[in-house]
Amino acid sequence: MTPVLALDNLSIAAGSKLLVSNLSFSLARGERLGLIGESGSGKSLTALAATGLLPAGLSPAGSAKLGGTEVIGTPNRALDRLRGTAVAIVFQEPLTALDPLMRIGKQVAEPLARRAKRDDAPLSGAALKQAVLALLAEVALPEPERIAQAYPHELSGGQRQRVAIAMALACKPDLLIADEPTTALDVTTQAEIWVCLTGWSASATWHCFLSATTCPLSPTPSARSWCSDRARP
Amino acid sequence: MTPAAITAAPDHCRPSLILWAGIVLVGLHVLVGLLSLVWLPYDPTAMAGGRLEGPSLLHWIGTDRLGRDLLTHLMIGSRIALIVGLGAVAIGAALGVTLGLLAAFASKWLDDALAATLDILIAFPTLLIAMLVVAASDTANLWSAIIALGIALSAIVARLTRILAKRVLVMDYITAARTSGSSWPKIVAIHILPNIWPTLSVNFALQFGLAVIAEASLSYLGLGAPPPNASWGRILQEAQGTVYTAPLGAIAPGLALVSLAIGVNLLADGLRDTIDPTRRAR
Repeated sequence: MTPVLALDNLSIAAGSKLLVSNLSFSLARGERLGLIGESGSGKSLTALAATGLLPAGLSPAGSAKLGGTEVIGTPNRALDRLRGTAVAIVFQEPLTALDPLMRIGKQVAEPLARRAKRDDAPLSGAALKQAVLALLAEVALPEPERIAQAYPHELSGGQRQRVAIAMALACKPDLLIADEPTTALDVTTQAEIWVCLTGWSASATWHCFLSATTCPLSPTPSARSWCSDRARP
Repeated sequence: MTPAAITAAPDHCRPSLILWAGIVLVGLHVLVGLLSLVWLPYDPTAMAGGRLEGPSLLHWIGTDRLGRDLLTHLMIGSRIALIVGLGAVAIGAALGVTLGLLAAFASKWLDDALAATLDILIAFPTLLIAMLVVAASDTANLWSAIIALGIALSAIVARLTRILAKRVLVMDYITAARTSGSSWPKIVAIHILPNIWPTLSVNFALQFGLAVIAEASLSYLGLGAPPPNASWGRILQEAQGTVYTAPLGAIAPGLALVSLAIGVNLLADGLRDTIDPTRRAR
């Protein structure tokens, strides 16, 4: 069975400086993996490289396969179809991860409608709205109707991160990458978010690849953990 | 009065007051401009009264040195100013936003080339570029002035769009949209344009004012709308010789010009406060 994500000797360089060197691991269906390391050790870059979204100026080498499709060196246009089906990401900073000028309901509806369209079961109007509210309720947001009408700045940090998770889950991805999803939050909220994420990865056939600076609190969400060293200078 | 009432009041009143002042000023010009299409007090080319008459019931703000009714000319001027402002900003916005987005998405060398070209364009005074384009076209008419001003304004819009779009492009929500499979055109339409719009719209209003003033300057120099069309700039220029005997001929078009420019700026300020939900919710 093809692994959901397979990295083989992945290296990321900025000019001549090596940021990530020869990283190899694979993630099978149903598996969870935690990537642990200090700031600047290349966790986020690995996540971005796996989706082909490295910022300009950084060059990847080696191989990263999403569900058997090579990502490194594949043009963006071809990857667009893969993104949001094979993979989705939850980002570190919940404030910048949401469009400040768009109501929450509309933001969540966006990936939801796209995924439904790809599945040849387009959602629109009332059905789409119901699906959005159901998804918001699923990530344990209180009063989904009110939250759907709100703008990001009207929510708390934890609520924003739940919305970001809802948006990633809306894609029904084969692989969910959570890039330090709790770093910007306080300890109590961190625990809640972990419960939210682990609940999901346990209940469904989700495949998580989590990265965190410190070992997560409470029930460790990862079945396996990898520690990354600071990249060699 | 309690201290709470004192501090609460301005926050609530300020945006709507600004917006209403803008709506009233601009609305007045729009009404007058529309009215001038269907009704004018006098034939703009006819000698309706004596020369340089003061305000009277027959001629509310007097007559010019040829005995033509000044109010009639000011009303036509409102219409011309609105057409010039809207036309120039529309051209400048279409051209500038397109170029700016192109530069924001372009590869390094194309971005640099565009930025250098825009810098050169910005380095020239708007009026000078407009004069060049008008002088280059065969006949001086309103449209050549509008196109010229539009091109001159587009450089600033492009520069602003480029930097605003670049700032939005690095945000996580753009990357998030990319990871969930959004295409670039869609991201531009639903994320980038709405997020740069509040800043752009205020700039468009500033440029509307600039365009109106620039057209008045062009007309003043004889490069604007040809004589049967009464632009405020030409009324000013014609009143120049008699400014000591009949000052109203110069003051009236000046006031009209200033009120429209201020009105548009107030309108944009008020609108931005309404568009931007982070400002509105307080």
